Amino acid sequence: MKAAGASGVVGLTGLAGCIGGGGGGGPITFGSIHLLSGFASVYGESAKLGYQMAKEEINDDGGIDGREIGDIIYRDSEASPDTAVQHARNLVESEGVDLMIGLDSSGVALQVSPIMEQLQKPFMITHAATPFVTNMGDGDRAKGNKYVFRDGVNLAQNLYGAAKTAQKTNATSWTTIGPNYAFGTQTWEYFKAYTQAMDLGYEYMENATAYPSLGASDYTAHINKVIDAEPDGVVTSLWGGDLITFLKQAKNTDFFNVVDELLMTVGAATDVLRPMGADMPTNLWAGTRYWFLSPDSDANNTFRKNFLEANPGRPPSYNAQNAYTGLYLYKQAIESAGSTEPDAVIDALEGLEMSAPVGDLRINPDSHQAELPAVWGKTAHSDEWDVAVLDPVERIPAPAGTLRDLLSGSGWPAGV
Amino acid sequence: MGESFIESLARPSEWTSTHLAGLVGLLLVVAPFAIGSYQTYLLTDALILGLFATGFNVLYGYTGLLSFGHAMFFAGAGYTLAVFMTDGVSALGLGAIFGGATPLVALAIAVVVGVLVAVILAVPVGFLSVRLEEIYFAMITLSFSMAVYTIILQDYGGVTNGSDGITVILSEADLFGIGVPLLSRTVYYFLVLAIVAPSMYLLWRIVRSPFGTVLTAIRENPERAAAIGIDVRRQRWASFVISAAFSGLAGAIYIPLHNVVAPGIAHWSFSAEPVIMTVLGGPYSFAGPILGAFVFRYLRWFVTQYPFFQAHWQLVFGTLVLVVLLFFKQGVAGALKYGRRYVEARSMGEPEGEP
Amino acid sequence: MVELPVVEILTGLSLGSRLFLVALGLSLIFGVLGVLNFAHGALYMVGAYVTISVVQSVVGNFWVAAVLAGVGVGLVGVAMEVGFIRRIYERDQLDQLILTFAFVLIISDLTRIVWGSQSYTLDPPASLNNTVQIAGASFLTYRLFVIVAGIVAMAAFWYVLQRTFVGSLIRATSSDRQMSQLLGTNVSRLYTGVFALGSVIAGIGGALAAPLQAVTPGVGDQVIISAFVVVVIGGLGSFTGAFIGAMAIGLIQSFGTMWVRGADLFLPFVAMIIVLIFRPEGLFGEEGQ
Repeated sequence: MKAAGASGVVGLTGLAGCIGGGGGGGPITFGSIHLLSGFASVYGESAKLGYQMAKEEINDDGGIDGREIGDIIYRDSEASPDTAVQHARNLVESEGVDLMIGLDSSGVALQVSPIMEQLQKPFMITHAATPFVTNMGDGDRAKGNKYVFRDGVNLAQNLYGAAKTAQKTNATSWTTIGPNYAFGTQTWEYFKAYTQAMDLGYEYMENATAYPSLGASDYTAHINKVIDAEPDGVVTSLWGGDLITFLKQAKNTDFFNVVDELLMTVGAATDVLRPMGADMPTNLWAGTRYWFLSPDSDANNTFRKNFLEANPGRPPSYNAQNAYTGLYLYKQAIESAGSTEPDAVIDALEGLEMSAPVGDLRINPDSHQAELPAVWGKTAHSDEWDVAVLDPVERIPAPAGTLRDLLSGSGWPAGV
Repeated sequence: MGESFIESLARPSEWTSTHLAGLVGLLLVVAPFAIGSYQTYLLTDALILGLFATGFNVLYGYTGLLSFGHAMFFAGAGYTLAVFMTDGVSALGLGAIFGGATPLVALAIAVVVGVLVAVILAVPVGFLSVRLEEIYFAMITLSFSMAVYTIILQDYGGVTNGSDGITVILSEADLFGIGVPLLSRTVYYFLVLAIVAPSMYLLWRIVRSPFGTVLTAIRENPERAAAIGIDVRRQRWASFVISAAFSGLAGAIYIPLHNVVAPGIAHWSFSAEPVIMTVLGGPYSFAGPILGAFVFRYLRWFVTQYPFFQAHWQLVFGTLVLVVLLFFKQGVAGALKYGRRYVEARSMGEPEGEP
Repeated sequence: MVELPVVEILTGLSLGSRLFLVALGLSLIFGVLGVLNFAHGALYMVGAYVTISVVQSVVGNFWVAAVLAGVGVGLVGVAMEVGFIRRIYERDQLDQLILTFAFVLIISDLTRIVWGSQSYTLDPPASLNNTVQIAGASFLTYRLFVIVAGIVAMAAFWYVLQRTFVGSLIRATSSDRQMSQLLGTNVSRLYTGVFALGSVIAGIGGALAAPLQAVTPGVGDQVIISAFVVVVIGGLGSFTGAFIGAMAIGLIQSFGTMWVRGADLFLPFVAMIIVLIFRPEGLFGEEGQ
């Protein structure tokens, strides 16, 4: 057991306490499934940095109830639900991990969720954003169950922020460009649902919607389609390398002459900002699941400082923060429950509150989704950082009740 | 044979194929009780992939046509099963008819319908494809498969659920008062074995039949085959459809094991898997593909056990395929054959290496 | 909306010329060696990464980087051919395909090890990094350059093949290897040279593509299937075919996108199927090739 020290302790408050004394035994193991290969592998790599940092801090600080965090076994989902399900089964049945964490892709999460119910093991989703997995009930859009949790902002929360941001603009005709899969199309559906429920009177230009294939290398044809329709505003769910390619290519066309407002739902992610550097277009609206400079709290400032020390030049991404916070959430739950037994951990997680770097969060007991604000802002240059920043930036509260009300007629779940 | 089968077991060097088949059969029946739940899952998976590869090889090893599109049959049957199991059962009111046995009956019907869909797809695709050879055949099958992939991904018609896929979790069937948990690894293993074993036997009979000989003749020399009156195109078409049917069967029983059907199994990279398995195992023997499937599947599992390999599995796998390709030309089956001849030669007291 | 087709057409040609540069090398290697190089997309990707690294280093010059990318990838190609592909010429095409597929896995992972998985971006060279107005729409000058580069490459190739001695050797060997060998051609060196050349072109293709998109580890996979479609439609082994095929696919994608969701993925395969059914040797291929 390591001596408790002052090394890298982030000021996390919340329900502490070790009810029931030391845990059942040796180190606690975690199984983690992420995108570790392919064009989105930066997400898995980034998450690993978050896990490692949390593990070191927790172990240096005495572990969880005196038990060390042992192995975090990483597996590559390969963006395939099938592969991820096989890994999930392997990790639980063969490796015997105590708890599961991770997942980047929504499609994968939708398929892993029912499996966790079969395996009877909690899964803390750190990235995948589909609201369906924190929606319990019946039907195709209710894929949640008691074992599945999420500690990061989901698509419904993020799009609420987008709708509130759109409201601030003068744009009245809107269309979308997004990757050609559920994430892209659902972004548009949620945007429409919210803005309709908010009575903003928008015109939705369906003929101009463009859905390039995921990972396409050339968006010019799609950009042409959007330019042709001359919308006031465009909502885009393009992410990562695709968003970068799109921005670079759009810059050299008439896109920004014709379109007044561009809302990039995950535009302020570090995996976009860092490669773009000073080339990032400014004065565009961008959202993110975690903004490393917000909130200006002890928890976040300490986290950011420590992360930058460990990874120079690399501000923490939401993948890293969510991974980090995920382990801490488990820590708090295990200590509160006094064991790693699934039902006990689940009970402890429901309603659990914590001050994480991303902000004060609470795990909603009904949906198992973390209640967090949506973060949106305008891209701007910064003298202090090598990446573009959000200035101004707004933390838009997204209360569960509000979201559910607004979406109630649309058939789309809020997942919170 | 002047001695009994049992006595002949005492001399391993003289075991025939029958002996081996019997031994393998025995091991397969006993396995799930000895190896634990996860390993049973792996074994089931390997058996299904073995069927897929063997079905694929009817077209490649026996007929000489390399298809890069077999995923479309696997996926076609798989999606059919998934849609049937989720929507079809209720739509057709099967629950009311079969009561407790519904899960099992539904599964059986779904598998049959899945194979039918694969066949229905294979007939026109095969007809168009067998007019070509070699690389062009590979390219046209790849194109058809990718067209199917995009249709599945785009969810034209709202049936496939696009990139999110469909979940299939089997429930418990109630057969005459006995609960049969279809989701149980052991139960499903025996279901799969009950399908794969006869299918393999059927495939064995097909390639050993006069039809099989015709296919081999076509593979060796299509012009000569045509000269002696074989309708080359027609026989290739038949081989195509048969190959597709068994690949479809594999796809159908694959889905309940994996609980998920997603567009990825229609992608050309999935078509590459039976190709790799066949290369690894050796395309010119019947058992080659299934051996290759086992090697492939267990190697993939093995790689995940070691963090370094897991992080760079592409590198590891690529290198392994490279090595096998360069140094083990006939694949695992070839290596085994060589090993067996060596053993036989030794037991007969002849110098090693003699043919 | 009278100007619309012009924009679409130029977009299509721009898409097409990027495809052409990849398809050219693929077609060359297949035409002469009979090897369908699955790893061609991976080589293209390495070219893009090398370009970015060179530009970000002290050298800083895009053109130098492009040349170095071509040379670097050419060397990789030589290593592949001499070390591995050479051993399996006598074996059937399936084995060759699998071998090059194994290289896809290896090269992709090595690329990830060297450069990591994050996206890299590159600006077009300053002289070309501006827009021109064509038919009322803005168009990046660099894209026009890429279209021109494709045409120049096409012309250069045609010239070399038809009018030089080396070209005639290549043509002779591709139609009858044994005869060519009997007549004194060092076939094995020719093969290596052709493979190297094909790889160099792939590397340069990657270099030219780097300023237009984010460079990620998935770039190779994206491009290889499109390249297959192009060479099959155009005719395996025909460079005119690869050019026309690439432009055709670019235009189909450009126009198709306007009307059908997912067209950019779906239509090229439909086109390939149609060509394979009605004219399997490709639009410009020779019968029986």
